[in-house]
Amino acid sequence: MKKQKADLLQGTLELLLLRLLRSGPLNGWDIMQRLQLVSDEILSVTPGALYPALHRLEDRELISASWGPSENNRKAKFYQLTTAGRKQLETQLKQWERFSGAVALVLRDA
Amino acid sequence: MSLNRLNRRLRALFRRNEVEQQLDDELRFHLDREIESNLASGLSEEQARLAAIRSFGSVDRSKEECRDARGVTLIEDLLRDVRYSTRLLIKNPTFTLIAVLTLALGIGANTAIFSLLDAVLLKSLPVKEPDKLVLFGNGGGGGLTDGIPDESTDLFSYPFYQDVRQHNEVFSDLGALLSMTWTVHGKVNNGGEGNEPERLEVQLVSGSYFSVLGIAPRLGRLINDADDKSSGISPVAVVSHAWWQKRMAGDQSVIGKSISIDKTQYTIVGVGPQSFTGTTVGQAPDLWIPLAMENQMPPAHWNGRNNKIAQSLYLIGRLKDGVSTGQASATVNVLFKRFLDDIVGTAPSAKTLQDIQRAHVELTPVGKGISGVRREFALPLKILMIVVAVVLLISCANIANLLLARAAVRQKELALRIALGARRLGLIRQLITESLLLAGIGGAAGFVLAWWGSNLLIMMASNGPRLLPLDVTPNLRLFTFSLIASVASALIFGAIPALHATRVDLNATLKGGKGALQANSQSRIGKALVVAQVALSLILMVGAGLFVRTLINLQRIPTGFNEKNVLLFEIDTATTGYNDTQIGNLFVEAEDRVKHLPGVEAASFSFFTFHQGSWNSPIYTNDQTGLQDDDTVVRQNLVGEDYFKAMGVPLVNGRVFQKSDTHEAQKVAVVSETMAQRFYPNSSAIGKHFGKSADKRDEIEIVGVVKDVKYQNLTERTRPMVYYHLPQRPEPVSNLVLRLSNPPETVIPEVRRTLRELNSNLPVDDVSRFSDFVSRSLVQQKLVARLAAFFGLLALMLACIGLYGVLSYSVARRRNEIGIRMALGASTFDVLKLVLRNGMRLTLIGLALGVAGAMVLTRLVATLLFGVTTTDASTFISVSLTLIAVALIACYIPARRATRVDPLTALRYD
Repeated sequence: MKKQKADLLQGTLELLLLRLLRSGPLNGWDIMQRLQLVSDEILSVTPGALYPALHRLEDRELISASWGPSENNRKAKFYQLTTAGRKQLETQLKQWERFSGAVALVLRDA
Repeated sequence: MSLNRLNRRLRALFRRNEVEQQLDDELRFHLDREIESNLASGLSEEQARLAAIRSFGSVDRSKEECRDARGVTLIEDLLRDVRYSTRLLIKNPTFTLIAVLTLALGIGANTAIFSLLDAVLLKSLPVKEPDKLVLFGNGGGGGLTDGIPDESTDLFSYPFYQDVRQHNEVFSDLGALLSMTWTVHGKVNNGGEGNEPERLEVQLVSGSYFSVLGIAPRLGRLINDADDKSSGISPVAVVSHAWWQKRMAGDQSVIGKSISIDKTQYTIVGVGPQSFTGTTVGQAPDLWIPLAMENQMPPAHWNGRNNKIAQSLYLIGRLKDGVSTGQASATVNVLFKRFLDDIVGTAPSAKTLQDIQRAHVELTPVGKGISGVRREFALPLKILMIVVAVVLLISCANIANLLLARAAVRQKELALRIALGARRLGLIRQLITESLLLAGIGGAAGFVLAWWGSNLLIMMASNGPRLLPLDVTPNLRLFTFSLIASVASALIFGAIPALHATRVDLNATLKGGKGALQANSQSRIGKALVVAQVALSLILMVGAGLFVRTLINLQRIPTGFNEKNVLLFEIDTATTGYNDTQIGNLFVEAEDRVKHLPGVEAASFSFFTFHQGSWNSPIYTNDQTGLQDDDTVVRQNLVGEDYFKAMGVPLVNGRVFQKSDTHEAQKVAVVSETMAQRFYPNSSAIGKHFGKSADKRDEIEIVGVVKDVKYQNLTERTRPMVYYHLPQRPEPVSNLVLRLSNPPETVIPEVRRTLRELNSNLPVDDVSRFSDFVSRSLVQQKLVARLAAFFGLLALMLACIGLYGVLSYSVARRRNEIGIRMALGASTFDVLKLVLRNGMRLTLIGLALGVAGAMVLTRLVATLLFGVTTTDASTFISVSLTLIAVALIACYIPARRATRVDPLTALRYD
């Protein structure tokens, strides 16, 4: 029934969260749904991992939080990238591309 | 950390409720959306809610991790843990009280002993760069010697001091001080009042003394080179800070006032700094006076300034930068040899040359002060430090056991908290916080206790009515020490139960059983702790036993005197201003008047009594073939007519002194049995003659032989002794001994009044029973024996409380089992046996370990023992029996309780 799920690599959750927030502010539940949707149901994150990760990013000032109305018009906590977060995302993206490219090379040619 | 972030953290810390509320809201929102989405996919409301909760996982754990992410949880948790722990401690007042009291005692004892150890062994002198100071010799001797040294030497002459000071490249400067302090009586000229002569401790120092140490005065100036240029030049004095405070109430006008000592009036030119109490540990001079005033200073009026062979000084050098002690030592020894060669002249005897060959100076670091009391108390203090540390360890084991038992009661609570998502680390942290809190309170109480305790210790360590001047006021080091002791104890007694209690088997515990496995392993730890306690306390008790035996053995040694009813007055004749002849007449008159007072049987002045120092020199008889040089050295004393009667020294042969032995009559002497045997082995000593120099061998006639007595201490070997009659050789001696037939209280005021009538300037310092005086020579052994016995018994008590606790707990836990046994027909005796066997097994294992440990460890104290071996069987046996007896009592109480278990209640219970 379900597609096989891939485990999130250690440390990649942070990168994914930052990338998901690039397009605009999202609340926790939205982020979870979006991750599943965008990754074609392969990646998922539990609330137990998601919220602590968001709070850690907030504490490091890579994202900021504000309270606003959700789609169903309830008060929800929205997260958005800060300038520092945007920079961090760029760096991490580059690193990831180099890393995954290298892994791909090895897997193909070794 | 940015302002924003700081702000957020502060908010998290101080507006916890708001922040918590927001976290709640955020997670609730998530759950609600999940439920909505589940509803949308067609689940019923109930199913949708359950599915949402299931998929979320533990909400509390998520919250906990979010809190962690905020980075303030540490402080927050700490505050929460402290609040929670405080509540728990208040809820269990008995436990708290016992734990705090035990700890206070343990930490207090440790801090008190440490404060003494610190003052005697560790504290550096409050001087500039103390590491650069070296002492010539090791500060072993004190006094004046005029022989050519023939080994490592400690005392030096003033000319040698000047010689080294002028001719060396290794010291930036060199200071000298007299190797002893003089106790004198001086009058402070304080404008009218205060005309009674008062007791003063005087330290004579060279002009360079203070500058070598690098000390600045509190007020005025210190002694300098100009004060020490030539003999008698500068009658000035620097007073100690303590004396200035005590005697002058810290009055600034002290400068310029004067103090009269003997015939000289000294102007006070300065006050020493508060921290500086002299360079010798255990001495605290009131006055520092230039060495140039030596000849004016009573009682001895020494004059060694230009005498190369009068060695009475300690020398302290300050090493130049980059100069090692080794280099300095080489330089000093070259100078020393040259100096000695110069003294003995061109044709020294072979023996003298040999002596000089062996003579040398050893340089020792003196940054921590000249040893003084250190030699006597270093080892005892280290031993006592170990003893109290062990007592603290035993207390910790007890508290660990109490905590273990309590953890068992709290097992369900802890299991529940873990099931609800509390992390083990968090629980351990909370339990440790509880221990730290206990230790904190105990440690604070202990610190206060130590203050009182260390003063008590000083009183016990002091040789006589005057306290050893050791500074043990609470300071940062002591505080740090008790803090470390407290934290260490908390970790020791807190960690074991904390680690143990949080290893919970959730299922077994929550199902409502007692967690049999858990309880078993817990009592295993408890039992191991008790075995260790018994073993340690046995070791301490064996040590205490050996020290007490030592003290008893020492106290049984007879001095040779009849100590009962003998009273000793210490007086100072220097304040009379009399010459020796006048003093001799004063003595005769005083003895005559005092012995006719009611209640006085005999009265006599004497130079020495017991443990007051000694006067040794060779004597010359007409025939001393077969005697080595050293054999001719005898101990000498100057005594009054009635001395032997007053001190109860029996006459063996001939006669004692009598009135007719005056200054003008034939010089006579009374000698000891050992003296008579050594010098006259084949004939009676009576009527024989000897002299104090080789050319006067007929000067003194022996008229009597008396029994041997101890002279310096109780364990000395008997040495030959000669008594001279004071009126034939008057000197300002300071002891007046009386034999009483009435109680001392009635006699003392009469004697004081009589002496005052004779001369109003005759201060009487101390009056003591002679027996007390003798026992003061055992002050170190008494201190050790008393403290070791006290702590040994304390350890025994603590160990037995531990034993009692473990057994009580095990009886409570085994109620069902005991109930069943009794229901099945076990008798009261069977039950009693069951529990007793349990307890005694632990005791005997501990005992065996303790005996083995004690056999090894008592070797450390071998040098402190007398008349008893380190493996003394009777001590080991009696201590073991005592321990078994007390342990039996400790076991009997819970055993008795076990027999009262009502099978019906017990089976229904639980």
